[in-house]
Amino acid sequence: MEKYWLLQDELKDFFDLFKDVKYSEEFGQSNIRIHSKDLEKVFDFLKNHDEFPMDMLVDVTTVDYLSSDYAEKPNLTGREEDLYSETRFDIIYHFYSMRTNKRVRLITSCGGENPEVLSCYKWWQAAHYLEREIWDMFGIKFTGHPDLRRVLMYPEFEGFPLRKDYPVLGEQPRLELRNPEQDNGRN
Amino acid sequence: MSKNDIPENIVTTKLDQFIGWARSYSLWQYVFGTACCAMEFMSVSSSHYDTDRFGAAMPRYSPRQSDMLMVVGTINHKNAPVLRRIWEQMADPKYVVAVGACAVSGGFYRNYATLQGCDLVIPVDVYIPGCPPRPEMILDGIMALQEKIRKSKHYL
Amino acid sequence: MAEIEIPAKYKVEEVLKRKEILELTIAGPTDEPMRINLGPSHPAMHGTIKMIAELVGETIVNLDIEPGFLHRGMEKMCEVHNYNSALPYTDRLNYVTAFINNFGYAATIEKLFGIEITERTSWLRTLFSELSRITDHYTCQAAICSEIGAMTPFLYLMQARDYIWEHFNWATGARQTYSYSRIGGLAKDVSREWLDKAKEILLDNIPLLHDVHGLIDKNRIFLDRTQGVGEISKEDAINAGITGPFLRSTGCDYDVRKAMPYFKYDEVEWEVPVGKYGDNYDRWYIRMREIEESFKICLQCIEKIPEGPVNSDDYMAHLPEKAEVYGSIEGLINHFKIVIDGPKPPKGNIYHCVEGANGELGYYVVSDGTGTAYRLHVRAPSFLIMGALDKIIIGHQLADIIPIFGSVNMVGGECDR
Repeated sequence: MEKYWLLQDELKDFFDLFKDVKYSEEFGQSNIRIHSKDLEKVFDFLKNHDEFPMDMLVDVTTVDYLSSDYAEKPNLTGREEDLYSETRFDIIYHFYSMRTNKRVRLITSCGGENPEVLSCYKWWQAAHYLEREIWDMFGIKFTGHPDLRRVLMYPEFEGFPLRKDYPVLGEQPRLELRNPEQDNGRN
Repeated sequence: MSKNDIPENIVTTKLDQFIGWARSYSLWQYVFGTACCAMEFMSVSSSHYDTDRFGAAMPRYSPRQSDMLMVVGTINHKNAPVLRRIWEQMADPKYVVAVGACAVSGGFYRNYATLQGCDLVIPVDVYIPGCPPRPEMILDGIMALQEKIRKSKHYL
Repeated sequence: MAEIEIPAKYKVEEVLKRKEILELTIAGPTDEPMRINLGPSHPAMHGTIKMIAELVGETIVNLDIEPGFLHRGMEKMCEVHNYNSALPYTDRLNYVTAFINNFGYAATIEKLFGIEITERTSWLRTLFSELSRITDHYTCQAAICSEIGAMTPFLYLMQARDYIWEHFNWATGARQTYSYSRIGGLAKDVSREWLDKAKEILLDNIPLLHDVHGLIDKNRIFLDRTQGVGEISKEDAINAGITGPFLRSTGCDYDVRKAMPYFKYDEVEWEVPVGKYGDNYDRWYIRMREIEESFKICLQCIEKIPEGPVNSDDYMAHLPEKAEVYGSIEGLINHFKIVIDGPKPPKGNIYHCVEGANGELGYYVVSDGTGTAYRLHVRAPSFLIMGALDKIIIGHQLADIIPIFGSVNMVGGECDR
């Protein structure tokens, strides 16, 4: 699968432009970790590159690195231990370049009380629902997104269900539930 | 009038049984299809399995004119008020069939999003297990409901 | 027959020019837009989805699409089940193509472990994927037809789908949700009779496809409701992340099976059908052509499937044979460890995609070295299409929602997960 991913030697001009970038390879796939303040420039760069314009945003997703035993394993996808609280969430972008048939994975972090990241809706409209889903599931705000509402859960739902501190069984019924064994609903 | 005086072309029965017989063969269904079981239900309602034979004909998509609500597929908490509303809109007598493991008990989705069985929202008459149930099982469930209607009391 | 002369003032163009009719048709009684709510339980919304349309006259000026009525927390469930137990959840993503979802998931985890699957498994997976694609496209086409009013193709295609499903039942024990794949192999092998019968069913299906073409392709009502309706340009579609038949109808030939071949797609001969206008009719036609291509792939697979084992020798992830479990201590411990702890892959993250029925179906897995995925994300093709659908529908008339939405083939389980 290596030939379908942009690896380090093909991305030379990228690393020339952005200095504090961490690069790693896993299973023949490239991980590029950038700081979230660089996002705007990186999006511009990737979208308008001469050789491999990333014209399709394949996927945006988030991973929550809250759980404590995870802090002991900081090497995963090049994370740093000391920045843990500020980098609780990893946002993972997958891009695809139609012309060269190459993919690239971009990772950035955010955290804190109200996590916020720049939206890439301006560059790729595919981000419309993907970023709404992340807001819905993880509570990460995307600045510049035109319509950031819940998409899969209902508006009165409290909390963010895919965060690691949200219980699996944290149901929030919208109706008063009946007891099926007592009330048969007929008169 | 003794029993022998009744002409042969007249059948006697009880009123309850007569109404039950009539109702059990004119089940108009409202299909609340949400998930995988709805795909199986497409097979059931098309020519191969043919629910028309049971008086449960092609789906009528109006709750006010239907007698049988078939809950086909997972109901989650977002969808629960919708299901309740549809059930409330149906006129009595009304019957509910829960098709598939998810509608019966939530299936293997035990989490924050899924309602653990649609009988937490509306009363259910017949439960059809399976993930998804085979068409024969759905037909069997309809027949079980017919049996239940025939045997129950009907108030006029 | 003599031609009847229509008086000039009754001609359509003249009638439309009359002032009172102009006011009625163009301006409408008020300028206030009317809101119409479609769904979540609507006969034409096959799949539970809610649309709130704002209308001026009959024209949609604003549209809000709200999915999520089938959100079942699949991704959260995969975080609490081990890699083997999470497999049945993937069945119920796109529940008409459970095989493709199964194999996509299994291939992702195999890449994570570095397991090589056997030749026979690879061929069988290709065959099952394509049969599965055929049933999905049958379902989608049947739904479009019945929503537009053509009931006959619906019954034809449902019947044909039933034969294939019953055939799956023979091989796997289930009609629809199979959980047939295993990490590193398949649940069980298929017999030669099964393959011969599959070939027979496929050959029987070809005339049926011609019947459906004959009923629909030149049907005036169908053409009027689909041609030039719901158009999208190639650039917009790519920018919106649309893949699959929807993208190919716009003229872009992106297909994961060709772009990054997996299983045996590079060893069979087939082509990618591509449309031109990106409207409903093109999407209909592309799906019909894809069914034909899938027939081609299936028939080649049946010829080429080699004999051999289906499970790899690598017992890192999948359960050992029953004889070994009961007969040797190594097999017993292996079985115990896999059931209790789950298979343990190396740490890291991985993305792998297959061509689902609606487009690129991707799995993104983060592994922390334990038997359970730390995070599993599914890149659902119809979720992205739903995100772009409002822009396609706005400007059309209310009745056009139905064929446009039908041609998306939105599947609730996949879209909402």
